[in-house]
Amino acid sequence: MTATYENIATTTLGSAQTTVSFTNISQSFTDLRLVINDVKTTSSARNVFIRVGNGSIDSGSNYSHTNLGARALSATPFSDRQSNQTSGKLSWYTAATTAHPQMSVVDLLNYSNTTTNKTFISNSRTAPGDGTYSGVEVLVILWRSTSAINYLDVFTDVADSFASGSTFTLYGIKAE
Amino acid sequence: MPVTYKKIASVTVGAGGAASIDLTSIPATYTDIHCVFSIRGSQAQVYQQIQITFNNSATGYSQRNLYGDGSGAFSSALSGNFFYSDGVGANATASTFGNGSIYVPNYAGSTNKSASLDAVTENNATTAYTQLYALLWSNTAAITSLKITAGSGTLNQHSTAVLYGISKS
Repeated sequence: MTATYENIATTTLGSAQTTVSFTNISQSFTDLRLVINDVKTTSSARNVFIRVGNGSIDSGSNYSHTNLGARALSATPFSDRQSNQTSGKLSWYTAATTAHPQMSVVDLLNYSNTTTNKTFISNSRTAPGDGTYSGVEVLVILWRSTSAINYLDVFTDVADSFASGSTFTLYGIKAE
Repeated sequence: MPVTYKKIASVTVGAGGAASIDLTSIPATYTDIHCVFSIRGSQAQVYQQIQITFNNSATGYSQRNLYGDGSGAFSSALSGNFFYSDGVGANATASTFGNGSIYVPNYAGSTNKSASLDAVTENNATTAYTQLYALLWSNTAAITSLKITAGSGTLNQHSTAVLYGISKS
């Protein structure tokens, strides 16, 4: 029998870094799962973004996303969305901060098929303690491309970085 | 290395579509089951209902949901003949499928079955759905089959469902 949940690569930042990249991702799995843990930013509360591609990163206006969540700022849950973006958001209203870490589990479903557009689901949590951004958020991200995914970038807003200690692990899930 | 997450069955809808995806003969040897699906329906709508049933039963389903449509967050409850979520129909962005994941703990036990369902759609337009569901199937039978249909209409080619069994050891 074969293990169906395999660690493809792990990056733990030893110093601040703007972008974490996974390249030449194997096409032998059914789905990918990206686990982002203990993520803090270096200066301000920031969103976390994803871009993907085949052979290179696609930064065209091919991403859209819709969120659902609740955060410390208000007792009222929220939902919002954006179309034709140049990246997908893995967290949005529940931003990572300099003091309160964020974790996200991101599923990239059927990532290697060449027939359908690709959907990602991000399940994100920002630790309690921040009066605005602590909270719970689920996002669906659409990448409008039928290309297989073998490149993946995770980054935060321009002019900021992920702090040292932020961890990014990419797993492959095999349906066998 | 023990295998704790194993594929039980997978179905991909072929040319011409299908009325349903049927995952049958589920063995009782696992602790939990987890079904991941990617569905596009044939109805001439942007969104259409996805229905899920266990053991071909038409009774005992109830659910509470929390969902966002890109402009607000809402909650509602439903009980009836099936579990449902919103998926995408024929008028959604081309080549785009709705995705979902249903997790059933203790599926072979002799108690009523509680489960979770997460489902999403995206359309690169003004409305899309992120949905979280709490499910209850008021039936003490072990789950031996799981059916996914598109409500009215059929499931399009390339719709898929994969069923995993999870063992705690």
